[in-house]
Amino acid sequence: MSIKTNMLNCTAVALLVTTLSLSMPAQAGKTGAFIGGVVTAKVLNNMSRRTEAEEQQAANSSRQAAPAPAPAPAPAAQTPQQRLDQLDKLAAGGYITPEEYKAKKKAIIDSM
Amino acid sequence: MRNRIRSILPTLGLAAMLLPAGGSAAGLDGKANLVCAAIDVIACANGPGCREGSANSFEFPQFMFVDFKKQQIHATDETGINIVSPIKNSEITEQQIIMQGIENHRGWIATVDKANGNLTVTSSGAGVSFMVFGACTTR
Repeated sequence: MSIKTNMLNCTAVALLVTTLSLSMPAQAGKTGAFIGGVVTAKVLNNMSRRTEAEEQQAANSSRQAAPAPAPAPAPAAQTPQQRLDQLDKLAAGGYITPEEYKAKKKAIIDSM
Repeated sequence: MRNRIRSILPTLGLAAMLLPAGGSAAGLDGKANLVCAAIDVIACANGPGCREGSANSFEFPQFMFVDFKKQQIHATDETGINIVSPIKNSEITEQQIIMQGIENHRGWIATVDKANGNLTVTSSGAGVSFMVFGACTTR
């Protein structure tokens, strides 16, 4: 059931409680109506209170249960061979100078 | 659940003390007035669904009284006001005392088992229905 529908039901129950509470003294003078009056009003009050509490709890739990943004996947460790291949592509594409290529290639080989 | 059992224990104890010795419910003949304790409640509304709990959690009056001469069920609410439900019809069968009434466009039926004093009250109207379970004994 949607939160909006529940809120409407809540309002309807609260309205019934008010109507019953207001109608009791007028109908019975000094005494109040028992089963159809006070007891019914207490039932409706209880249900209204619990529905509101459940709404609050549902809202809280949905906030807590909202999935946290997934962390960025860690780059998979590349083998020296893969790094050298990538370096070759960068050099072939003209993205790095020959000096940079040589320095990087040396660093990769030294790290082996 | 444990809390709920704990909360109804005093009421059950009082009801047990009020019941005649031996656990019988002698005198439940529909003539002698009754005192009843509400114990459990199940309430349903069209929309929010059903809820159940102890009569205490619903803040019901702890005791209600059945006056057969005045044909009414009455209690006192927390503010001290006398609250009354007139009994419109009643019938005493071999096993039960059955009472019916109408209030605020709602109908109710209260049944007391003559053998053990078990009380069942149902009330319905305007999309809301509830049941009260309890125990009665003679006053």
